[in-house]
Amino acid sequence: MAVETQSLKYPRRDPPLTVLGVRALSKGYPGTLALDRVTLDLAMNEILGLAGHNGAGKSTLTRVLAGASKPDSGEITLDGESVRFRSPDDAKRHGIALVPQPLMIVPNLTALENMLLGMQRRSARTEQIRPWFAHARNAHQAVDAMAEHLHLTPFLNVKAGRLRPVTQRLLMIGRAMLRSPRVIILDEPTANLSRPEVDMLFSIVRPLARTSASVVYITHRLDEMLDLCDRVMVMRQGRVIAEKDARHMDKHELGNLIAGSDLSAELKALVSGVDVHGPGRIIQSTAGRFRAVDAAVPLLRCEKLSSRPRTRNIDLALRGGEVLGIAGLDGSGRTSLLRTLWGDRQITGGRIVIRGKEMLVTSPRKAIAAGMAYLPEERGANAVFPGMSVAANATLPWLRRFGALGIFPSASTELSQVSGLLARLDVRPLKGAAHRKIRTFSGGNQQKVVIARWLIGIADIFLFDEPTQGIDVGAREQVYEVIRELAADGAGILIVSSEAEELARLCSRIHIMHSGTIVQTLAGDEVTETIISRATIESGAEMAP
Amino acid sequence: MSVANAASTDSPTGAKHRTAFELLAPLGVPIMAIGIIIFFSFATTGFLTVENFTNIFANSALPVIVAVGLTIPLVMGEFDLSIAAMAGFATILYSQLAAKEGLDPTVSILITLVACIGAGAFNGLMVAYVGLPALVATIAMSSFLIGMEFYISGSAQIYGGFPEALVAFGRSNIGPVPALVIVAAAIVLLLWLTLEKTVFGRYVKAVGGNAEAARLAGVNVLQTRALGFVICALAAGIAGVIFANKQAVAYPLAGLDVLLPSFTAAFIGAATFRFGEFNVLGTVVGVLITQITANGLILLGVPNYTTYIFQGVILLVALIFARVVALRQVN
Repeated sequence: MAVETQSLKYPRRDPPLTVLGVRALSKGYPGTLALDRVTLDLAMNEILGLAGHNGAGKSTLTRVLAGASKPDSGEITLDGESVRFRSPDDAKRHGIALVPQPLMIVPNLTALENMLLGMQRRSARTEQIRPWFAHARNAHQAVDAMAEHLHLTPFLNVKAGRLRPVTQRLLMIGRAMLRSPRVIILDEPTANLSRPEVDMLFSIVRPLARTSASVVYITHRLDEMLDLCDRVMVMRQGRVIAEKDARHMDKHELGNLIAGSDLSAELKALVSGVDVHGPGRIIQSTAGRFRAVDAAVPLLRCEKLSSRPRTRNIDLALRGGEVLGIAGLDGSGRTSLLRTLWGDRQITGGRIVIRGKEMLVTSPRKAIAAGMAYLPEERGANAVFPGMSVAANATLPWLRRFGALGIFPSASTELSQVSGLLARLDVRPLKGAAHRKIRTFSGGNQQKVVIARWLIGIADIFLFDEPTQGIDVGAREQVYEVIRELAADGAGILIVSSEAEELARLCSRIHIMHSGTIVQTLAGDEVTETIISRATIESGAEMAP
Repeated sequence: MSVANAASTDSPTGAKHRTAFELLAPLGVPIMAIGIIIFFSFATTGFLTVENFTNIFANSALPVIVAVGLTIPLVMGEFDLSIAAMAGFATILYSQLAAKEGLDPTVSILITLVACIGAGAFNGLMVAYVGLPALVATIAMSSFLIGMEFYISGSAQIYGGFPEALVAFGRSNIGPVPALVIVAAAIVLLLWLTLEKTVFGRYVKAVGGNAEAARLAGVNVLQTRALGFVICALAAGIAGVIFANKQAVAYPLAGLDVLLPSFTAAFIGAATFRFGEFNVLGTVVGVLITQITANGLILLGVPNYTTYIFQGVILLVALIFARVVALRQVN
């Protein structure tokens, strides 16, 4: 009788079986407490969303759970038994699989060979797969079954480097799942994926969780989190500050929880500051900084610009004060277009006209000299020098201006150029930030430093590729504010984004790209999240095989 | 309320351990150096004397010049295996021109250094612009230069006819300090300034840190790389010329033995002062440690070949140490 009542109270399932438990877990780094007595329970077949700022402690928690980092205190339990992971391999043996955010595949091996990587060392514990030879038959059977689940069958003999990012991601998930984990941690699996690709990924992850493993899901995209997860846990400053059933939560509430009330207030101040151009502005008023140009002459114009095979016949015009968006599915050539404008791709046809004058932009140096700035996608790989200080990271393109003969940059000039920007961009922790190595900062703060790099110089044409990728809600709003202020000061901004919401909020016009060329342009009333998403999806649908 | 407060009030003990480790780790190399010195001062006679240490410093001068030059490519994530052959080539070319052909010493030095710059530029061209792996390109250059040593000298020993002023300078002291030590110190200072204080030095570090990001931030990565090889070759060439004057005799393949010692020194250097980063001053300390060890072993009266064994062991220890520290830092 008592049991009956219980199950009515918890209609989802019978008394939830805790697979993974974490008790009062703490982990400190010099100067910060990355995890502060974190406690969590992960039920069998549950999808738990983990939300929070960059630097809130999500990454540290996943690292500890995956055995990559040892906690200072606290306990981890698996099926009620206390465990201690000595290494990532040890965690794997215990059935915890981490699928990290960067795409980690071996490009010159086939999808099948990628799936089998490391399988040779499977211990007796999992029993299912023990191919001592790379092509043992039983391994193939297990892989075939997994590939079927993940819709990877047609790609098994294709070199992994030639697969689309979404397929590579599925490959990583498949590799993790082959070890039959109890818990699978997915860290930002949808970064760089467009909405239809995300839907496809979800349609595969959901049944996977229900049948075979519990999932910890990390993302900065709030609607994805609410869409996929059963329960959401929000972290801030190393602590769990909220834990709630995802059905009883909306995007707004989740955003507020992540940002924290103090930060929301700060953001409001920032936003109100923009209208009056008062002290609340993030970047110093640069009115007049940008070259006065005839409004009729676009800052940047492309005429039939091509860099085959990736970029074909691009016609576009970017005016001062304008934020122009580029949408499109992954592989539609958006990044290549920006790279072409940045002088990093060989131009095979057409021309680039800057302020009415044709320019031969054949290297990033020439692009900088022409007044352009470029924020690359994949901050870690393409923008950040991990071992160098924040100041050195920010000033690199401008060093020659900072000192005697263009040879000896003055350290004080360098510092004065940087420190104000760091404060205004709200880089945290700010104290001594300019001299600290950039790798000690969270992703959002690193992105702010890379943005600061381009606010130092004379650029008035900004090429932003996924400017808010992998950064938290608070930092994201600050990036938006910078973009708006630059536009208000007369700069032109070309922004590539996979997030329709972002483009709808920032842009006045949006070009949709497919197969390296612009297939549609949205302006005026058409610039809404729904229309952008739909147009992006349809751009792919009409060409799909 | 702030993050800093939270950390300082209930910081777990682990954080303190790490700090202690980070405080102690940079002392690893100095402790090793002191250990070596203490060992040799008890195990041998005449080790811990002013004369012997003056001798060690004098012997270190030329290896230091080569090793700090090598540090530049290493910071960029490249390396140059042609340094020893480059120094030997410079020794032979200069000796042939100045001693045998009787050319003006200044002209001889200029021609020699220009030849080294040319060889370094070719290394840079092959590695940076053509994209050959430094391993293969610089080994090929090494072989070519050794061949040139025999060709230029006609495989004969060169002796006599060296400019007397330069020979005397190479063996002189300025006050209590050997003149070559002062020359080496000047070159160290110059390269330290280049790497730490100039735009080029920053570019070198940026290319070493993330070449792709450097290119996208407008750094001319290929040119920076190529220039690094030129500087490295020039340093080796200067050392080779000074060596010729100091010895006043030259024979192919009998040049400075600096290949392994320079790499050993640079890797010891990467575990000194700044962890996991090659740096000029660290390299100097590295050279001194290898030279002190070599000197101590000679005083100990062990067979000559023992030096090679010890050099290999020291290189491996330095590598393992740097590796362990890097791993600890990642965690």
